[in-house]
Amino acid sequence: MKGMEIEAVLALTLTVGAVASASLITVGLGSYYYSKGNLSLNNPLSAKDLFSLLGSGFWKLDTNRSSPRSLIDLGIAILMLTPYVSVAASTVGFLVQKNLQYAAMGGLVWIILSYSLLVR
Amino acid sequence: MGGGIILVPALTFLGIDVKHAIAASMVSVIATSSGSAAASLRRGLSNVKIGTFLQTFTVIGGIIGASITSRAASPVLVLIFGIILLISCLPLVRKIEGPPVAKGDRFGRLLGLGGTYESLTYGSKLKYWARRGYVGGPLMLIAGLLAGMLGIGAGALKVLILDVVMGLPPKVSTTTSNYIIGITALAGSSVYLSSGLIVPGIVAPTILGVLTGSLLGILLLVRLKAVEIRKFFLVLVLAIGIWMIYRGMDILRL
Repeated sequence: MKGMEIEAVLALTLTVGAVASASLITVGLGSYYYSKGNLSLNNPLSAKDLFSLLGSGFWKLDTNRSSPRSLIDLGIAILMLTPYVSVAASTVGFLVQKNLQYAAMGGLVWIILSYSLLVR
Repeated sequence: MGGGIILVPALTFLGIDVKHAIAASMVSVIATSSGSAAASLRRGLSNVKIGTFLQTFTVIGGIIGASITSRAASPVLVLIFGIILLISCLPLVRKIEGPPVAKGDRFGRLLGLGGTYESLTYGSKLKYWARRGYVGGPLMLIAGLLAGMLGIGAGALKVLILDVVMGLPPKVSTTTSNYIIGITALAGSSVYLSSGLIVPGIVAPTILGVLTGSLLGILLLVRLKAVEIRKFFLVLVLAIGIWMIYRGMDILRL
């Protein structure tokens, strides 16, 4: 990742994240409405951190236990994961460029976000 | 814009509690930021270095702001929201592209807070530098705090800091702000997730709505004049701001 390449990688990360999230939410909302006839999803997300939410969503997909609700939850989780991955990608990009000053700043942002997403 | 300044009042108008509206808006800001930042990053307009430097401040502010909201009284939040909306009108009444800062200050040069951009006004690729980064950074902490607290991108405030304090060209400040708001929004969303304020029934349709709206916005943008768009939003944001202040004061019986 050199020069303009960091920007290209970040743009790709953000696009893939937004499209994947929107697709899962659309399918989830559509199938929920088809099966229940309403969109009363009034219970908040049960997981207290992003990684539990992601783990639970992917596990349900992998074991064919996914439901419309779990697809919606996974879509929201993937959207939240997108900027987290972009911070990690920019940090790696700066490291490859041997720009240690910015790699340290990106790393610091990533650690703060990880703390907030995991430890709380 | 992240869209939060329209979204939160709209959701509360529909009868949704302001804290749930703020949490839903915070997550949807990630969606709008991802879409718009991807486009500007591809065109090389967002400055990732300046963005990375300022994120170190905004993420801390975002976490503190969201933590305040999860404990604060709802009417106070409505009142603060209205006041911030009126302040957000300020960037809508300026926007004249002046020549970029040609020589950075010592702090800017030390961190390499500069870049180049294609200027339509000056018809060439111009080099620019950010100045007063040591003031812009701490101010971004406040912008991040308000973003996390009110579930907005606080893009208007961030652009104001990038433009007026750090002297960046409008195009660079707008696109760099778009890049930063998504990461700030994640910091705030993490607090709302752990507080159990993210309700899929509100968040999921909102995400799809803002993504569709942002795509329609891009299509409309090429047909409308920038001055018309700015005037429309100025009137809209002013009206919503006054309504939110009135509502907050009414509930608080001030």
